[in-house]
Amino acid sequence: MRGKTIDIVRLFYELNRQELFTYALALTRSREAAEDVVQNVFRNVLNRPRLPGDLRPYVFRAIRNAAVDEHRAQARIAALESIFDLPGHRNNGHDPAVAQELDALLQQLNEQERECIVLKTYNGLTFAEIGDVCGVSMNTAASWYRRGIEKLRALMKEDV
Amino acid sequence: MDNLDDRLQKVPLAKPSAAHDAAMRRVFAEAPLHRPRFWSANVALWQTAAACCACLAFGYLLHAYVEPPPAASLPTSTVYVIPPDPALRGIFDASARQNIPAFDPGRVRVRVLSANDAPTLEREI
Repeated sequence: MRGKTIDIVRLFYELNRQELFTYALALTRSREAAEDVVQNVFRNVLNRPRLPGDLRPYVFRAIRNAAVDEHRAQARIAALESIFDLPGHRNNGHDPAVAQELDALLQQLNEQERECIVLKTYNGLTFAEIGDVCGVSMNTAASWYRRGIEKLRALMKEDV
Repeated sequence: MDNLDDRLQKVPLAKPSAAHDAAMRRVFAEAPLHRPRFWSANVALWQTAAACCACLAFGYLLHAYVEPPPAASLPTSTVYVIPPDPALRGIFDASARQNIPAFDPGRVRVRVLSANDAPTLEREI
């Protein structure tokens, strides 16, 4: 019975491995911290007596809380790391110009706008789910996302 | 908007490291196979229950053997039986008004006898 629970969590992790890491990285801005956050969250999930009813929003919320704690705890981040695969990373192999440009633009958004864009674009969450994860209403989440996208578009026009 | 979405979607994302994948495999491998038990203490549940029963029995016996503290003695009340004499009743009333302890209205009653010596009226001062 318990083995089945572990299999469910493992399957969930394998299906969302990249999304969860991207979200944690967007919040912590450190690959090492993001990996720690994801590992700790799953360790906690597996130690729970029961699985939460809906694992997806629960795990995203847990990652958010852990990332916020991690971010507060470590004032040691000298260079903020990107969610994109930039040349300095270990897994490159493509033209990084676009990624660098988008990363620079994303950095000009505030945390809420950036978080909403990551959750919507890379994790495929609905606005209702984003609101649930961030602890705000669906409308607030939607407005953060729209404002972020509009800012990005304006910044791209400036660049051109 | 679509163009921007496309651009965002097409950018390759940073991937978790091989060390992270290995750590996650360990997390799943080391996951507790048994659900945390309701009773996780080292002492057996029956022993704890027996100890509780013994404590209850001891408490009951202690309660039964210890004498209850003596109840505070209630002040005795005094009843004055007087003939139907208005002057005499006036003395009692005046004494009560002056707070004389012997005529404390909380403890003293006055019973006025009727003319044929049968008690007909009882009243508090």
